Amino acid sequence: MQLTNRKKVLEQKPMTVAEKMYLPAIFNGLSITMRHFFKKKPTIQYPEQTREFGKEFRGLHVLRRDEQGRERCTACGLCAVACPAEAITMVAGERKKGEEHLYREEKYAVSYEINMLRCIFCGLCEEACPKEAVFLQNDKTVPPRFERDEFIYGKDRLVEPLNQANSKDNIKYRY
Amino acid sequence: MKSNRVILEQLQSRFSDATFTEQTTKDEIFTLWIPLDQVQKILRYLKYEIQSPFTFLYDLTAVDERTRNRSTNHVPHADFTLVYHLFSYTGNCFIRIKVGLFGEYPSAPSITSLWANANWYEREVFDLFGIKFEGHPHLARILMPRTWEGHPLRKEHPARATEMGPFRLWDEKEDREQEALLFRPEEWGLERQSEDSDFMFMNIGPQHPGTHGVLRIILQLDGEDIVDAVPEIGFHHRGAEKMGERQSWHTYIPYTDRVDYLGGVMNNLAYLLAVEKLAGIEVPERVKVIRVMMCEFFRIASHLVWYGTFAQDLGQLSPVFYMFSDREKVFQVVEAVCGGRMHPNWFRIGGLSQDLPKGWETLVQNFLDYFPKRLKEYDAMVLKNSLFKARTKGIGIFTLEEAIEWGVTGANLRACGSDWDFRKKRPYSGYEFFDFDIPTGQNGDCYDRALVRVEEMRQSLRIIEQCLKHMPEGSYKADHPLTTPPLKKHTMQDIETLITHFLNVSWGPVIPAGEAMSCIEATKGANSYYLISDGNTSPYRARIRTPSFPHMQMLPYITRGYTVADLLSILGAMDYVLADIDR
Repeated sequence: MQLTNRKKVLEQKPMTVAEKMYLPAIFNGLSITMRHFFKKKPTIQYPEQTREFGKEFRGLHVLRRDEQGRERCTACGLCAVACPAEAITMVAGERKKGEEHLYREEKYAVSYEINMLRCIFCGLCEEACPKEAVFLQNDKTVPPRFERDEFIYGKDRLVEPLNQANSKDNIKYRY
Repeated sequence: MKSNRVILEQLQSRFSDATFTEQTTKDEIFTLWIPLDQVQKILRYLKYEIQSPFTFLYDLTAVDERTRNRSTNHVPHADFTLVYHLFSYTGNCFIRIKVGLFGEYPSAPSITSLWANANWYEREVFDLFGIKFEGHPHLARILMPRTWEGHPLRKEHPARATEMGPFRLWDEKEDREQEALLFRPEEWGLERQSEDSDFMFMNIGPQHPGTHGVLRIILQLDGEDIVDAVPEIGFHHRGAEKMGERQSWHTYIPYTDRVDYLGGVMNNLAYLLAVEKLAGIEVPERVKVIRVMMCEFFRIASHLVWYGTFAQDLGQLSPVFYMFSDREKVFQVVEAVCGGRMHPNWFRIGGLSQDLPKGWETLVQNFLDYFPKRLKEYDAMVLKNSLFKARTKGIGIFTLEEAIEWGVTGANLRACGSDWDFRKKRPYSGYEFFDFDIPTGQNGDCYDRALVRVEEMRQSLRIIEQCLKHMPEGSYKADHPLTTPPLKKHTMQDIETLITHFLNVSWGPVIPAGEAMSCIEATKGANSYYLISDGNTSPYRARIRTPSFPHMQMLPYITRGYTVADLLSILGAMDYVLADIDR
């Protein structure tokens, strides 16, 4: 490929008399603006309407279940140490007899909290997770709330509901 | 290298009594330790007398060396080190001058008489390290509040608020803070009156739409004319450099996103180029091209924000809405590729976080088809508008010599007629394989700066088109042990690879000891990360050289004599981001 590596000098010309009248410039600008009145509106009526997110969008977290509806998370803590904002805390517990249908691994997260006010949605937790348990969904965001406590998401709000398990359409496997 | 030998020989023959110690660094920038007592003389020689003189003070910073692990890297002993980065436009090379300082609160001679832009840099070093500069005209805090105790970048200063104990505001402290807020013109170097008139003082900012962020400009006015302007910065200071010393090499990447928050992945690139130099990682061709493509998308997004707000500052209200909705088109591509918008956090040490998504070609092609028409409309609307011309032509002029003296880079430098673009002159990340022109202006006024940036968007489109047509196949991560995180398919095989994965994402990689600086042409000018590793899991020192800092420093110099309305043209044309100034 031949490289041009040119220097492109941009010249400015002195203003003409017509330009110095200024009034035409105002009407010219107004006409462009008015033409935009008849174009498609770029705005949407949020929150009644919401825009479509890209497939890779990093939104609200979810703790996934496996094919049999068991929680995948084994509370290894990798997401917590990988988190640059230190938003994740968890308490690990040992699975008891008879709980095999609830938790996939012998160790599981008794509590798992993400502070959504700290979270920067960078996705490093998802990248770190060795069990493909934590994911950032591409169709949900954190809704606005009035109290700070309500932004600390526990397992009740993070773990995928049972009936939705295996619905892979809003989860992406990326790495 | 040969030229390094020549420089050293010239220095030794000129300063026969001084001892020069050479240090090898990973980035192959010629690094010299010079004695403290001859700093001014040697720098003067380098600026004026040597062949292909180093006319540009690129960066000035310091390092607190007291807790550095020395076993891994041979460097002369010092408690603090002053680091001067000089650049020669004629020789196209950097030189790094280091001066060792001893003692708790050492002092060094000021070089403000040599370079105009040394002023703020020295104040910054004083503010963050407590190093004094003898002969500095106004050595006061610049980034931290004036009542701050301690110097944050010293190693003994706590890195986070929880280490400092709970915040209390007792009455005396409140009085002291209030007292410090009182405005006394003398403290800012401003006279209250001249022989024939009383001056008026006016604050623009910290909350003013024309300042594009939390910036306060104290204006000394004689009627409508600006006698002097003093920018007060630091409102947006978040301690990005201090955080660099705390985060791991890997988890610092999201923080870099937020330095020039309009530049997105461009910040990641500047940081990662330095890390990859330290680690010795060579990234695959595909990674380079994808990185270039995303960087150019962000250049367009950043320039669109600048274009819209500039027009808005000058009284045109419509363009900013159209341009922001076009920027949304850029963000659609960015979101589809990276998953984030303004803070994509998408590049990784040794590659990218993931490969391009399916169907990216259509998205990029759609944008390439859509955008040139819009640029044409904006030309008709903004650049050709005679009111816009009247407010920008001949305003805020500086010459090429002045620009270099004040450390101006990027489009602002090119508007003065220089064709200096780091993408062309010192190519990184494969820019040497792309075909694009460097737009330059002739007059160095606000209008030329606008012309240059608008043309840059067109050139960015050309680069993106070439990326689209010639995207190489290959992996999106380098095959190197320090690539973080490694490809996941290689990690979950057995306990051995799992342990590697655990170490990699928890501690992050251990980057070998050494130092390296990257230099990229960011959206606003030359952006650099100067990283020092002492063989640990986080940088020993992470210095961020941002373009907006010296640009803002130049403001008083170029606004004197203009009116307040012109000040807004000058600010708008300068294209800065407060996060980029304050870090």
